[in-house]
Amino acid sequence: MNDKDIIIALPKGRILKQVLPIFDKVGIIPEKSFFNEKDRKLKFETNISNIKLILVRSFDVATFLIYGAAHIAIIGSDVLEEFNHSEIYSPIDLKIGLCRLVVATTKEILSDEDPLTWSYVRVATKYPNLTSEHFKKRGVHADCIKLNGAMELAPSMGLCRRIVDLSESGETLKANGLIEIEEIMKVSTRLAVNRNAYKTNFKEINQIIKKFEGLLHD
Amino acid sequence: MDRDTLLPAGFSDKIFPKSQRNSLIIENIVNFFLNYGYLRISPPLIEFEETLLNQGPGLALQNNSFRVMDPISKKMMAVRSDMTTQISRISSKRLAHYPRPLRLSYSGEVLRVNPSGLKLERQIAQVGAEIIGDITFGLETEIIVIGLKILKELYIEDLTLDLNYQNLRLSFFKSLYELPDKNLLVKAIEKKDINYLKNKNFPNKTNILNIIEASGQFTNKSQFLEKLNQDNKKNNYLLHLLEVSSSIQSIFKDLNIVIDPLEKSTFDYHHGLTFTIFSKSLQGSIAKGGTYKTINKEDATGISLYVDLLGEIKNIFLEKEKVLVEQNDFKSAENLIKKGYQIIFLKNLNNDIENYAKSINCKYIFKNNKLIQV
Repeated sequence: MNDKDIIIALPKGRILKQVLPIFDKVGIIPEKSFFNEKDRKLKFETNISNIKLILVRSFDVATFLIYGAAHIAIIGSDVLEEFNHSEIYSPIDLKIGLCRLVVATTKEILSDEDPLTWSYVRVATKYPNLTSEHFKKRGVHADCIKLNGAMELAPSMGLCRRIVDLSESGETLKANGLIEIEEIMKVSTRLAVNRNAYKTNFKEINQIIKKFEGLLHD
Repeated sequence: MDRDTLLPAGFSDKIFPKSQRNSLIIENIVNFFLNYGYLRISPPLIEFEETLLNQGPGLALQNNSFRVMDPISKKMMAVRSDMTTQISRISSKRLAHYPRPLRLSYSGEVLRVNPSGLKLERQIAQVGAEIIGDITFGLETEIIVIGLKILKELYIEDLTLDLNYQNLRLSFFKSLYELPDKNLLVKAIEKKDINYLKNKNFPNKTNILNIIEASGQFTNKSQFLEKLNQDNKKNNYLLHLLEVSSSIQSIFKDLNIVIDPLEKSTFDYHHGLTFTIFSKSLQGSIAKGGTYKTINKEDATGISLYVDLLGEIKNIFLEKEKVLVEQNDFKSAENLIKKGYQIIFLKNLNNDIENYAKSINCKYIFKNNKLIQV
């Protein structure tokens, strides 16, 4: 890695399609192989010689950013809150990738329980920190089972009483017979910055932040 | 199975050359401070919990300190998680009668329950210095400049100094405490989310936004003042920050200074000016410090340098060249040591020792009064 390179981390998947038009407007254009889904490359050049892009899983974006492997990142506020790390600033809400982090379960489970008596609950989630904080507030210890997908199956299969997961329209929950019980947080995609990079390379990083900020006022 | 060699999370055996490099770094830092009249003190690793954690800066360390029971007194003891609190105690009691400003330096290991920032280690070597007495911006400048000079001496390049002011931050936060969404506002200030703040109403809004937007690279005092509104131009905390920045800049011309007045200090006991030193070549803070009150409510200012991180720079100290010498030939050994070599005794120099020499990365043999390359 060149000392002068600025590495921007982007999340693979759903959000990426909404992010690319923004990069277009800001004037950061990835090389062609970036758009080729069959390409196995993970690091890409852009039209600006010292700006490189890396493409990683949404939770890994935070890890790359915290350890300074990436200087700037496009990242969901759900992931930011789950990591809640002092080495990250998140100056801009890009107002894309809007969804909510919710608690859900099946009708059958709901009809046969009294949550007020709980001291303990088992929850399937990708967000163990946010989940245990949420339940801690009412004096309930949440035992989190980490699942990486097919979360919606877990309650009906007897794995847990609750799931905590993202919900965009509520369709996936509904299709799997789940009911939303409460919202933990509203989620949107943000521009985040590594603290070390922000301090040691203030001018260049700030210039990029200002470009993104400019878009929001258009 | 090697389970019986497993260490607890955050603890590790430090092996050469890193362990050697680290102790050399510590020695260099403490000697550097000694040249400027900072006297070394060595407090104990463990104190009674009530002594260490129930007063002064110690109050802020309660959640992050290990405790053990003292079988003799049956009282709870705490292992230090930061040495500043001990310096505060010593300067307030045992050295209370010494003339001020009192300049002290220290080095030692501290234990933390939760690793902080990027470092996963729970045992950290802390080296630093404190000035106790009437803290002026001149003394604050002194301790920061000495810290910077030490880092330069250790060949650490591309230094950035980040300056903040805790009381300024707290004075603004006080006005937010009554609001229902105070936590979100504080968080937005800490995460530099200007757009969120712009769309909310809260006391001192224009002044807070003005400071966040003015934050950044410091080129000179008048240019920074120009970015401030009328209220902020008269703010003594900000003026103090600018005074220290200009005087450091006049000594360190090529230093990258960032002024970020509302940034939170990692040590909760700081109330005045705080600072962090970064380097482009190292990830994380390499030195931190600031101004606080001791147990006696005296002003004090200090700096801590993070040796484990500094030890990652490989060219800091060059290893000495090794020479194989006939066992117990102390006369030759001492001569070679005086010339700057490291010697290793070997029982028999006559056998085929080339492989052995290579395996310990040794390039020379001293034989028949001559230095021979392997």
